[in-house]
Amino acid sequence: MESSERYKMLTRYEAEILKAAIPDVLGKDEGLPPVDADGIVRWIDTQYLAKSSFEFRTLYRFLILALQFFFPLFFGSEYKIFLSLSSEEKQRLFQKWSESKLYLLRNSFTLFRLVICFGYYGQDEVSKAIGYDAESKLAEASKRQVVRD
Amino acid sequence: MILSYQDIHSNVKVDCDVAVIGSGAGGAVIAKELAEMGHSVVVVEEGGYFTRKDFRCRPVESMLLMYRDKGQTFTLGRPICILPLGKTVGGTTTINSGTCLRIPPKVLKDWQENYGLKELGEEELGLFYERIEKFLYVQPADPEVVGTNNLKFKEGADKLGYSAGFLRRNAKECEGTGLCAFGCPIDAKQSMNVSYIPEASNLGASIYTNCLAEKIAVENGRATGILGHFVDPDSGRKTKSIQVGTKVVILAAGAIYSPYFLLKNKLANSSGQVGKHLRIHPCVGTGALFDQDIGCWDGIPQSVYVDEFFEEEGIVLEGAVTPPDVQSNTLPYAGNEHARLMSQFSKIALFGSMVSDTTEGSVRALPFYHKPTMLYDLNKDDIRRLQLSVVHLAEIWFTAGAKRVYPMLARIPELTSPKQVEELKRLKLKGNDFIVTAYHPMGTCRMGSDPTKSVVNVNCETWDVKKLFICDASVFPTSLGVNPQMTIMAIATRTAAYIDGVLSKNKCNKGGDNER
Repeated sequence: MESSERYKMLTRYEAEILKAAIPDVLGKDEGLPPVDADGIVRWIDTQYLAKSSFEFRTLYRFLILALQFFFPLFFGSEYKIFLSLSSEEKQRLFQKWSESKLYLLRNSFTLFRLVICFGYYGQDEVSKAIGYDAESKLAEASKRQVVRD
Repeated sequence: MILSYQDIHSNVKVDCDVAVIGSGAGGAVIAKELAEMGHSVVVVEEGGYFTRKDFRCRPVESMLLMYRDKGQTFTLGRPICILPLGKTVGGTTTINSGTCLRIPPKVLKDWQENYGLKELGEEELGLFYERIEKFLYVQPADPEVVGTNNLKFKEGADKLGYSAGFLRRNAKECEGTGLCAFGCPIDAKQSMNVSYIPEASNLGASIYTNCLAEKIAVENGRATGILGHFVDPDSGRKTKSIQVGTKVVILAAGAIYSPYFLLKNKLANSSGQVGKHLRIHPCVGTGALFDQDIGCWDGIPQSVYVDEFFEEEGIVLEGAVTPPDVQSNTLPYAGNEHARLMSQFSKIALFGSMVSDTTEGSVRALPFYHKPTMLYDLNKDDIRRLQLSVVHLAEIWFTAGAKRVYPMLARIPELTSPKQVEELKRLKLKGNDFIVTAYHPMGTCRMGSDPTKSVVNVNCETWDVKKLFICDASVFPTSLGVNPQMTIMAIATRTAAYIDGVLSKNKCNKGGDNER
């Protein structure tokens, strides 16, 4: 995504942090299609956050900024802002965040990941690689309508 | 007729016999029943009207379209519980699993004996249940289409000798597309949007969608109308107004929004009970990894039950499966470990459990905030039973041949052997250790015989405002223990018969004149 592109709900800075987080939140596996972080950020911005409540949007944006400035302090070995962490360091941070002893922190990871998972696993190509083929299901379903007697 | 937002070009002023707020299991049934009895009915529904053409087999799309707060409704407390609610014609029935169970006899007995509801007779309710079951084609799930996921779980339960079976559901010619919770794409599930609402419309009821009821007009202690606005589904802005003049108002906005509506409008709360006693049937789930393909998204998501632990512990094990995008976040780990699990998702089976809770939460209307706030802190006994649920689920999965079980508990990402299930039994878990979802809010405008301890009487009429009825799960005095939609419908059918009696009597007394 070009830096000059505008986002609907996120600032460019927030989008940049989110884009850097997505590959390491989702991780890699040869059974899954590659992660298109640009596309997921765009989807989160225009399809999810734009339709979400003000409260949810605000919370999510707060989490993105907390990830950049605060969470490396809680979960990193030495303090660096999130954008300057290596991929391994980011993965370690996410693992520690997800296992945090503090309930609200742990829960905030679930929320942060939830939207990213929606953006990635909701793509037809990805869910099809797992075995769930939305397009075929829809094609099958459209041929059939149950009618009440 | 069902009117969409685009059909409304000016402010609406309409008179009718009965005005209903909400088109879910309570509102839709009462609308159809009263329309059938010859009364003029207006239904006001905040959500939009969607049909199978809008159900595109992509869960997140459906959540954004039909779930209240886009699926982001939750209770505050320990733990935070996700509480998905429908905001669409048909209410939550459009996005539920379609399970249709009658009230357990012991629960009805408790209501009769401890809440003064002797008039709510088993025999009478039985007749209403029968009528609804016939109208909704209620029958046990067809084993041919329940899917490998559910059959595997049942196999495990059968091996252990547990009482298990196929759930009764409101589905006609179900093919197990696995998308009940996101709008049935073939109209097999007989949710209100394909059954009671179209029938009410055929019988002359007017259903206004994208229409937010804001006030109930009260004159001389009697409900006389509804005031509200249409809401632009794209911008969320209020546009044209609606004013409904009526003889009877039915509030059927569900156990979260009905009490919120009353609290906000300072109505019907002389007892101080509105919004209290919130029960939600807290649920937990487990995943299980098998060697072979399970394809958990194929088949009826909620079609098998284990009720072995219901009588003693109030625990029912019921299936709960969604496609990978929604389910992905329930699996443990982050990064590559999570990706590894997700790449094996076709081999992962899922099942859930529901507890008949004794915890009582509340619904609040906070000043300067435009939404209800739900507070709910799991008590020790419910935590114990949730832990027991996870133990039972894990035990059944291992017996069915699972290699690993994902208990969805904090700091316990997976169990690799039945021995670990024994260890899990001995752990002292806290509320915050669970990932809890809940689908059945109840009890926040409870029914009873004592006006100082309840909000409505046995006919669902509020003690404080005459001709104002509440008809949804908020009237349940306690947790039901089973999926509530059938009991909501049965009580709505009973209430419709009562209201018909009242309206007919008034018509006779006044020679058919409009009483209002």
